[in-house]
Amino acid sequence: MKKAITCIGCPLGCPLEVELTAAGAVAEVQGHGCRRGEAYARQECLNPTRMVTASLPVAGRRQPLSVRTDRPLPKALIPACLEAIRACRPVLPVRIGAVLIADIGGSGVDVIATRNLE
Amino acid sequence: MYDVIVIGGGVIGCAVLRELSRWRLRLLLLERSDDVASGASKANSAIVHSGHSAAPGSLMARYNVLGNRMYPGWCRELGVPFQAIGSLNIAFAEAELPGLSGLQAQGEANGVEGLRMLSRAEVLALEPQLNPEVAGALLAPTGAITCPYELTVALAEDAVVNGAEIRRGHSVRRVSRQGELWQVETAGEVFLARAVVNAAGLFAGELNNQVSARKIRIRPRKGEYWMVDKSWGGAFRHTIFQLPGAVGKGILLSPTVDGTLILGPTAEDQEDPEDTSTTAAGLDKVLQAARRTWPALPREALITSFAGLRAHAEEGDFILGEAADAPGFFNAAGIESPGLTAAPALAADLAGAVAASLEAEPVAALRQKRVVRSHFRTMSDAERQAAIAADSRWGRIVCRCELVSEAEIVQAIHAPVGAGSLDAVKRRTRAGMGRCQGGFCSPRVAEILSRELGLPAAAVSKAGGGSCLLAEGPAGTAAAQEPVAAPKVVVARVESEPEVVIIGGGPAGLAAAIAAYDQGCRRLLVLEREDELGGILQQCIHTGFGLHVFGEELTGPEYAQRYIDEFQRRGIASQTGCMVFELGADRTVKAVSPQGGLQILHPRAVVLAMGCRERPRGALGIPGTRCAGVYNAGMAQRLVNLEGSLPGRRVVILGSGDIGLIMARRMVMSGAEVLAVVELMPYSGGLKRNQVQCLDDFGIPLLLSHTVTRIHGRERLEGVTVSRVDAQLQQVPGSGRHLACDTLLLSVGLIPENELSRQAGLEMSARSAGPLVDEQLHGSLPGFFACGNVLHVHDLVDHVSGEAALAGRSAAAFVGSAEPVPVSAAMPVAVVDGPGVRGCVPQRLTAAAFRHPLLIRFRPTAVFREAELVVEADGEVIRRIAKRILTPGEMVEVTLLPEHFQGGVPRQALTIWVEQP
Repeated sequence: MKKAITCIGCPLGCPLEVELTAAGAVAEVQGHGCRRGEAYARQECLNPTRMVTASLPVAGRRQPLSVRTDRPLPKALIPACLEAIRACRPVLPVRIGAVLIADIGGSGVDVIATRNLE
Repeated sequence: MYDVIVIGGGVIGCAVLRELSRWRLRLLLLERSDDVASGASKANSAIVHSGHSAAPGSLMARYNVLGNRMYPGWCRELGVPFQAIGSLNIAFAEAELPGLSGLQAQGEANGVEGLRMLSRAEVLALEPQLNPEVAGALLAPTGAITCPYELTVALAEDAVVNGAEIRRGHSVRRVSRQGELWQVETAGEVFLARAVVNAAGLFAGELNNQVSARKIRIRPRKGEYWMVDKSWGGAFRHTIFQLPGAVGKGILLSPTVDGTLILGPTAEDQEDPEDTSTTAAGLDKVLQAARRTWPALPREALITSFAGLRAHAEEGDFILGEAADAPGFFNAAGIESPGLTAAPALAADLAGAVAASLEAEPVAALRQKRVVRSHFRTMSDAERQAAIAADSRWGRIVCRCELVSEAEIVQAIHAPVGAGSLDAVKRRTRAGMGRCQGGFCSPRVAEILSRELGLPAAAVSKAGGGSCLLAEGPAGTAAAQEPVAAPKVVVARVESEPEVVIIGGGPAGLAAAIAAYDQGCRRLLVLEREDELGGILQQCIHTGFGLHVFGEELTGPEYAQRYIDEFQRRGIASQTGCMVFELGADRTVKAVSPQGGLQILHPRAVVLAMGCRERPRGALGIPGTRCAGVYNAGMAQRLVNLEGSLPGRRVVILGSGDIGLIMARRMVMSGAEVLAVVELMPYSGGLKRNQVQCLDDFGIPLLLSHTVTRIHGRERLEGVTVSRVDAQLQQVPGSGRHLACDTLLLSVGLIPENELSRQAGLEMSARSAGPLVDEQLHGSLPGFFACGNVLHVHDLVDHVSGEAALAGRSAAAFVGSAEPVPVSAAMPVAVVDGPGVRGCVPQRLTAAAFRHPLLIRFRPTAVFREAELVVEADGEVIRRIAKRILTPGEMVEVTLLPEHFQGGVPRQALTIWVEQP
């Protein structure tokens, strides 16, 4: 099976073509202009991850609280992460870096506050 | 039961109502829109004509000349601006001169005073910016200008404080005779009156024809206009008309009482009395004709465009007075130009006739005076100081471009004919009428409207009806009803006058302050107009900040907080909620805040760190309607991330720079649908990472080489037309397709906010759009330093921080030196943009520049692959740098070390260009 992705390493945006085995392993990467491109292709095919940022309403406050994952989260867990953020009701005050939701879907990734809210 | 019902709240209806309020009559005015002055009275040339253009013997000629004479006194009484600037009718060829003489003769026949023919030399002496091909002109000294909507509001308020009643949002459906009375029906109500005044503008024919056999046919005649920013307002002193018959028949250029210039109108007949959309052809026509008058007219001077509809009667003259077969039904119909000029005379006569027919008694008591509201921008400093002392809201500037304070907005809302929508506030205060077109102030004005009127945030509208600004108000449970808390404003504790004032407390200002402090400067003061430090970073809740400075991927607020913590650890003084509104060449800084009042500072150095603003829709001139739902992407980001609102549900985004891409993802994650991101260029201006993670991840199409060519929707946006463009960026005919959406986000460029820099008299660079600086970031006047987005628009905040630290150190060194160097003399070497390079900063180098690593930043003009950057010192190539790719979306940094100048330092120019094999 072939998979087409765009490299995000630099503005060249090389069109990468990844040959996957039946088992889902990377057999071959084509189209990359550098080693970083090849590594990105493997990562993006085997375990794509994203930093997730969002904001959530805080009772009695006009300004929402902004949050992020403390490191990139496996892409498949993003819907569960957003769901957990929507359900989160933080207790004030909150400091930057405070863990609001721990260990999203067993990934070890936490959701932390990115603002101080008194 | 009323004595008189006036239908229509334009300038004529309101003027008649006011004149009628001199008699003991029960008066009611019905207006279909959410506000008075919502039809032709808000969208016209704002000219008080001298009267030479109307046909002798016509009602137009009579009331024009009479009205013109009444205007100065009328405006004085009402507290409305009036300026007798005079008008010029210009001829471009000898052959047109007899036309001018004809106009003069006609004017004299009409009773116009002071008309005088001017020679080419005379007219060019009066108006040096005028096309030098001018052959002569007719000067009409009695030509003048006013503000038609301010006037209409003043008339309405004056009538109301003298007993009249005004109901807005009441569209009259039917007028009929009920015995001795007239019955006036609106959507849900029926009113009775002894007399009716029909001042319904475009709908006056329809109403007349319900009651009279003498039919009136009104044709909507569209006029399109452009507005020129007040920075160019001084280019002309008179209203300039071209002779009818020349290109763009009757298109004028005129100063306005607000210091801007108005260009227009076109004249196109149409059927639809509600279609006030602009057209590509109309706007183009106005621009071409205006360029004939003003050849140097710069495109970037244009801030907005609009269209108005004249109520043209087939008779070609005003239709005034009682309908012969409908006693008690008085017409003021077919009132097109010179209707505004005619208003005082015409209203007095018409009201007199109505009063006589009702055998009314004059009001014996003295007339009540309407309160004339003051404006911060026209007050003296002493008046400002006193006003802020009495009410601190005078010190809170809401609209930065037009310097409108919160107090003015609150007064406008609670006035006798109060403002209930964004546009109504705008017409009374000018909030949102400036160069950023509401880009900063609309959410704030909306918040004040919500608070003062007790409306939920989602119910605040642009112009009443369905023109709501938000799909959803703040989500924070009870937050929507909760009163807006007083901002936590910090007032500085500066013991003595600061030596360095930093204007702007965003990433640039913070880094500059910290660096200046670390350099030993203690008497520092940062002035920030927002209520908290951190600038635009506070709304950028996505990650991608800090990789260079901190080696971490932070969000905007986290990055900002790290600098704020450092800033506060040093105890550096700052004032938030503090707006600098004047800057002098001698470094006089005038600032205003609610707590600090008006402050005048005289620092030894000023660091400019004001950032940038978004290019508004108006500046692009996208034709169509002016409905709600068109936002700048950054404003939408603020609404979503800082206010917890949702601007709309079906979104199209124009512009694929990083802000556009980031907002595409943000809108989807907030529950909206993003139909497409539309990009004029054949490439995206944003990072590849953002293209993949913001668009591809969500299946949002990116339409390259496309643009939005029309905006549809009367109240709220209903859709946009998206068309393909060719290699010259011109629309491909027939390629347009309709996308139904309720929101259009614009991410079409950032403009450094250099109004203060220009006011101070700093030399500017057209290529970087910021002040001209040397390698110390020192400007063309001693003691002025610039950094961050006000100097040139950056992509990465990390680079802003680095640049600003240099500006801070330089300012501290300048203050610390016994004899600061005069700058201009020390700036002999120019950094020159060669082919493929745009906006090198710094633009000038002192001799010291070559003794240290020298960092030069610029943008490529296009996408270049496998290219070389070539650096040349006085014609000698000193460095070549291979680049696999260069794109305009990513700023380039070139560092030159002392060793690169071993062959000698340049004496004239350091040039950088892109070479492609």
